[in-house]
Formats: sequence, C-alpha cells, structure tokens
Amino acid sequence: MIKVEIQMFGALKKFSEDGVVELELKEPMNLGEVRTALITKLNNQFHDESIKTLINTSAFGNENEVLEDDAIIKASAQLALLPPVCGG
Amino acid sequence: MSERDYVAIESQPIDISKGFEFIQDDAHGGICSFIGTVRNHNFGREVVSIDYEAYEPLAINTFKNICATARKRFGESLKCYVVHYNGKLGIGGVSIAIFVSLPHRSEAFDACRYIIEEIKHKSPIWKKETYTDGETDWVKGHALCQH
Repeated sequence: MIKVEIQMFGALKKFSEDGVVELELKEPMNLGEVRTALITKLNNQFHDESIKTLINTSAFGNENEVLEDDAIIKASAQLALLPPVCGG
Repeated sequence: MSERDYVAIESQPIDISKGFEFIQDDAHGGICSFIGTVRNHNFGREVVSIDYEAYEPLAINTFKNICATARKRFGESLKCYVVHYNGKLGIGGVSIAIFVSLPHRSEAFDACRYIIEEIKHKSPIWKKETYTDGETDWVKGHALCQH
C-alpha cells in the first residue's frame, strides 16, 4: 500500500480537516490518476460541485518543484496540491 | 542561491529600506523597485484586509529560479531583493518588495517588471480577501498546471 499525504492550500483547504488529505494507493499511479482518486474521495465526502473544477485547475507539487501529471508515485510521499496562484 | 540575491517569505512587516540597502553596487547606476500594497477595493467590493498564504519552501525555490532567469536575460551582474509577506495585512500593508539594480536603467526596469510578473504567475502564494460586510473570498489566480 502506498500512502500519499496531500497538503491543501488556498480554496482547497476547506476540503480537509487539518490541511492534509490522505490517500492510500494499491499500486503505483501517475499524478493524473492520483488526481482522479482525490476527486472521487472528496466528492464522496463533501458533495460540493466546485471540487472537480478546483482540483482540475490545481497542480501537484513538492517542496522543490511543480510536478507534471505523468509523474509516477511509486512510494509513499508527501505532496502539495496548488490551486491557481495570485501572489504579489 | 547567488550571493547577489536575497529572497524571503516573512511574517513581520516588510522593511523596504533593507531592499534598497541590499542591491547597492558601485558598478550599478540603475535601481528599480516594485512595492505591492493592499488596496481597499477589488472587482467592485470594498476590501478591509487580505490574508496571504504561501507554500514557503516551493515559493522560495521559485523566487530563486526567477532571479536566476532574470540574471541570464537582463545582465549577469543583476542584484535582486525579493521579500513576500505571509499572513494578514490591512489596507496599505506591504505585501511584496522587489528591488533590482543593474548598470543601466532600461535593463533595471525590464528586470523588475519581469520578476513581479513571474512571481504573480508562478509562485505558490494565495490571498483571501475580507470585505466590509464580513464575507471572505479567495482571489482567483493563475493555474500552475498544464494538463
């Protein structure tokens, strides 16, 4: 089992209790598949129509870089889900 | 990080005098700065404050990369100072301070503009506005994903 901890930011935080959502993957997946699994989990939990749009406009990342959806998650990992940004 | 860059996310009020001090260079005759502040309105709503949230490690890394790219584009001697605030600010509060210096003004203007635009589009920072009626909303931004 691969455990993925996803730190949520901005408008995504309301879909987590403490800013983090955990997923358990049965096998290695790319981030596009992780994204789909996350949408399914949060839809079941919150029944909020904005979830799918918000997650689909967000990028996965880690402390060093923004990750592409074809990146493979092979082992337990800590990720961040980054909604559209607006610094400055 | 280049010794010619200073980048940070701070939760204390930004002291812009430090930026002016950092980018001093005897070979540079052009200094440009951009200071971002909280304004009292946005899209027709009266704003009373903004809460800034940053994913700090990635934001710092992004600032470093933006400064490095600016150095390649506008001049190897470029000095950069980039500090972004994290936390709550009232109207007039300084959310970001950017100072750059280069030998000549034209490149300094271009580098400063480049850095703020890149930060707005690429840095993992979000802001939640609070309005006079007490409501709050996250400001819509630029997607980092390309799927």
